[in-house]
Amino acid sequence: MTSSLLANLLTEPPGVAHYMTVGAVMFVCGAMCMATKRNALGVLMGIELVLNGANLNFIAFGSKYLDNGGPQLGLDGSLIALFVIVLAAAEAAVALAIALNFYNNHDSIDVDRADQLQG
Amino acid sequence: MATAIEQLTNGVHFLAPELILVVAVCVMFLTGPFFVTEAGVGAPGLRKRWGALALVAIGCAGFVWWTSDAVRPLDTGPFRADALTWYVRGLTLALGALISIVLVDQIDDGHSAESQACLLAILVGVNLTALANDLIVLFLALELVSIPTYVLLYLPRRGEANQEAAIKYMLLSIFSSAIVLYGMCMLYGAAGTTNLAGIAEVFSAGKSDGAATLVRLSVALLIAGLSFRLGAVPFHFYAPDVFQGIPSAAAAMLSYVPKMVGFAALLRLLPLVDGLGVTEAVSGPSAQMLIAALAIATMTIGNLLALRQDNLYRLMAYSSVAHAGYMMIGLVVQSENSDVSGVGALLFYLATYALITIGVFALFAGVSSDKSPVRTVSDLAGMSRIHPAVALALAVCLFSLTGLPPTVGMLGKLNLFLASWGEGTTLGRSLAIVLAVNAAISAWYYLRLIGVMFFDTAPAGEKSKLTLAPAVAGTLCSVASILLFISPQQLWEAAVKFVP
Amino acid sequence: MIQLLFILLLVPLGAGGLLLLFSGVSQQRSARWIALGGSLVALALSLQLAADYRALQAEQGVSASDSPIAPRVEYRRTWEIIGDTSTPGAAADAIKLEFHFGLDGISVVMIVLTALLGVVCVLSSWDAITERESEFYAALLILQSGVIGVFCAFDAVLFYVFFEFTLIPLFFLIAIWGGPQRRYAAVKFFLYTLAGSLVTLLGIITLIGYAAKGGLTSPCSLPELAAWYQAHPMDPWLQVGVFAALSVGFLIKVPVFPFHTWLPLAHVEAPTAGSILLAGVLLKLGTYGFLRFCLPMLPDACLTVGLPAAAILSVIGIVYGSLCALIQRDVKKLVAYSSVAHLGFCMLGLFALNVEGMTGGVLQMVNHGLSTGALFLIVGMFYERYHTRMMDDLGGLASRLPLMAAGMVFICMASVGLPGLNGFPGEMLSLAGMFKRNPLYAAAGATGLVLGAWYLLTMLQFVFFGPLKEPAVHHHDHDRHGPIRDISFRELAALLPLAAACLWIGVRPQPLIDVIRPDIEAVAKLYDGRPPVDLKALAVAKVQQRSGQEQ
Repeated sequence: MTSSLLANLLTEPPGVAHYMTVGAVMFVCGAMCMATKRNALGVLMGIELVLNGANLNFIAFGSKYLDNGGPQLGLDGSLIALFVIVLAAAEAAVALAIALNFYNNHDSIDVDRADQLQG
Repeated sequence: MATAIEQLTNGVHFLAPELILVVAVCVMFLTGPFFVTEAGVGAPGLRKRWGALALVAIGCAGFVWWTSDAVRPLDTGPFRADALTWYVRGLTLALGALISIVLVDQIDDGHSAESQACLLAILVGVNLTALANDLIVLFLALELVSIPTYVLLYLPRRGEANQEAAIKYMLLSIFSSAIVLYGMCMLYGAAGTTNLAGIAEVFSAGKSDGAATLVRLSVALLIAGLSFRLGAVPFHFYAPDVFQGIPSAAAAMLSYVPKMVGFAALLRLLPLVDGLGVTEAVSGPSAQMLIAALAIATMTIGNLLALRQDNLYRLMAYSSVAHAGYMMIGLVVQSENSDVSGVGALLFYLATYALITIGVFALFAGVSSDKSPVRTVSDLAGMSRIHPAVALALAVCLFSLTGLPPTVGMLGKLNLFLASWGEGTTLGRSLAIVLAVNAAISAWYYLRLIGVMFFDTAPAGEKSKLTLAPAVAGTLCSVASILLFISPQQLWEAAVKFVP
Repeated sequence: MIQLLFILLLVPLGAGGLLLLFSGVSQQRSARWIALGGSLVALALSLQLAADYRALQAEQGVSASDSPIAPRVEYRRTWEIIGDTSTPGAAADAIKLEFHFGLDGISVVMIVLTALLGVVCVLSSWDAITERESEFYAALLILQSGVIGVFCAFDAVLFYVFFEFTLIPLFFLIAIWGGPQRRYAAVKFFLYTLAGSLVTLLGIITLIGYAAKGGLTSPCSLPELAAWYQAHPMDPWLQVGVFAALSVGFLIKVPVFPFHTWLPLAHVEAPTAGSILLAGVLLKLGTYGFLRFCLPMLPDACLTVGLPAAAILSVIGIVYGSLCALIQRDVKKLVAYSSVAHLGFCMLGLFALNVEGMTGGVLQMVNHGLSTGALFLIVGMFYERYHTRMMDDLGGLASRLPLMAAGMVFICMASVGLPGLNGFPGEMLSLAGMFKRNPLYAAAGATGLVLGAWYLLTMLQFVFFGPLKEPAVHHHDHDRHGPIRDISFRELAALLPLAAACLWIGVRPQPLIDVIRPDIEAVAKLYDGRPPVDLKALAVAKVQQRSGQEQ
């Protein structure tokens, strides 16, 4: 099953499945990045990866150039991707502001230094 | 079929309460900076004015909500106003006003405009979640709640604990949003449209049977991402840390808003894939079992961990986790089998829980001051001697959280019992039994707080002064919880009107 | 008459609320006068209520209703309709909660008992409580209201509401004004009973849900529910399950043998007034629950499982409680254990499931309230004087406190079951009823009479007779308390009504029996000639039927 799926991916012309694979890889990489990076900026990059992994899926599903074997899709996918890009920017702005303040207080942006609250 | 622009213009009058709030938000954000000095210090008393402005905006929105009966049951546009929307709007505005009152005295004058504006923006986000009829709107609404929340957690006190709480919440919240987004893209891929009504149509026509795996995956992702908002196990771990680090107004907000948002989104999304002819694997058992398992784990773990907390805010955080578990029972109950609607029981419980928990945090804020903050259980010692009225109101709220009469918490639990036990299945009955066991466990730590207030003697030293506004707001909550116990019919009818 | 009931319900609550409201500002010593006034008004109202009820009963004769639970006076008002109310058709299926208050003979008797003990409690705390007085009396009065509420609630959920509500004031009474271990005792009492009553709630919900599915429109109303279950009995196995769930909470409340561990602790730590109310009326909530839920609605389960189980547990409770009482050195603990034994008789009577036994059971409920209440009162009196309740520290008090000794002897005799005093008719009827059902259980229970006489007389001998022995430690307190004096006028006022009631019931139990008899007959009718169900055969038949279907 797995091997035949891989074989299909490698032999067939690029389709939705390929984009989904890339999207999934981006998502997982982003998640790993958020989990392991100690630097706040690294975590922010992870966030971007995760969001854009989903974005890629949206665009692939919505694209009329890719045969997805399903119903003809409208512009919804591309639209939602645009919204998500804007949102990601907004989120990054807030996150950077907080990170900057964190730096002012801790002289570092190592998020592991945030360890006061536990118990 | 109308164009999107036409749909949007038609939709404007459905959005009137939200638009009022958004205008207020813009005014506050834009004019706020002009009233503070360059160092960020505002004139003393400024926070009261901004608080009053926020209350006026909420009042106007509430008036529009009350006079409107704009209910369009099923609409193809991006917005959909139905009984759920009406209920959520009313609840959010009323509770938002309470939170706003508590917030007034917890911020310095320099940051009051932004804080109140963030609170209003969050309220708009909650309402939009309940209005959404499109994945895009739903996701934007979720983010409209999240982003101002980060700011609100961050603004009031710039201590290190506060920052840490904000950073922890922010990182996890963004991650959960990403999971939700990923689930949404799967749903979109399977259905081919982002419109919720459209998705329902596609699924019920059985046009997407080939995409069963996608739908199954998307349901799992959506439940996982949204359980973060609910504070459900295993996504609960942020709650105690975050609650510990933030002021009580923000804690009150956090114990209500994310839960409302999460349940509203689940109530919109789950019916799409539940029981409609997608596949047997997704419809019915699997999603239901998943939520049931989460509910059991959530309430049990929440209550057990709350038993040994000494910090009030951590304790209340775990209590809020446990209550999320109780409420999830309402999602599991299949209403067609039971005389009592599970969703109705959930919405009723949510309203009463939110009212009471906001009351608890308001009362904490009322007796807390900079010199003698009330953060740990022992800080409450002897409260019945120092502030008897506050202690009594707090006791009423805590009994209500336990589920004892004569408070509305008892009716909330009774509804859940009737719904789950009346369903007649083994699953429903076991949930009811777990709920009973948990209610008994939770009594222990609520009683402990009451014990400390009434039976311990206060430590010598300066007595804390009462902050009037939050104390009054909290007392109102406790009085309301008794009044709602006596005449719950209106609230119940509003809650039960929405049948997904 | 129903207005009278509401006033009776509201007077203690209102007085309690008033005390709470002015707790910070009022003259502390005036609190007890307000409390005394409130409880006296409540007593007067309850007596008036009883008189009215007697008149009504004489006028109506046999109740027209054929339900096993038939209140003669009713008030109903919709509280909450849980379920879909959007269409009339759906609303008929919804579960309707009601404010359903009513009165039948049993509730009238229990309400009068509660009101009487309320006055006694206030008088007993007159000098004993010096700290946070208004809160104390407020809790006492609110508790009294809650208990009256239980006795006049005829809606299943409303009953549960009052049943649970009584926990709250009693929790405060024990935990604030109790003895050295009060916190632990209060929490144990609270959690124990709360956990039990949650299981009971599940049982109540099953009762309601089953009837609602069967088409009963107001399934929470106890009279309608009982009538419905008379016409549509549940499957016997389901009955057993529901019976077990309901029993957990009630058994803990009574308390019956293995569930009694919270009781001695709570009694020892509670202040005198708390003990009087706890023993006098709160324990009765358990037996009252059996009488209102299990006996009328689950006849097969009561007969087949309830009878042997309750009888065996009660007999064990009687013997065990008596033996424990025998070895206690603390008089209050002795009285607490005697409660376990006495309530065993009460359960034995109720589960005889015939008119004699159940009449005896209800009488025993009243008697235990009177005599154990009085015992706790007297124990409280000499504790106030000597600050000890240990038998080893005390002796020969009769020579110093002759009046108190006389009172104690009188009450002990009542408690033992001396003919002519109130214990006698209750215990005799209970045992006679049980004897008709099953002589073995009755004979085993009767040993408790002997044991009861033994431990009470031993206690009397130690404390009141023999050479005078007083604790020396507290002599230095005398300048504060004055010399040890015999019963004061106030204490006499508390004790006399109880003693008079004991004597009255002992000599003329008939009026009391007449009040409760019709309601008991209505329940006992269910068990006339009812054969026990063979549960095992039923289960076998069910399994066979199922396997038959599969084939």
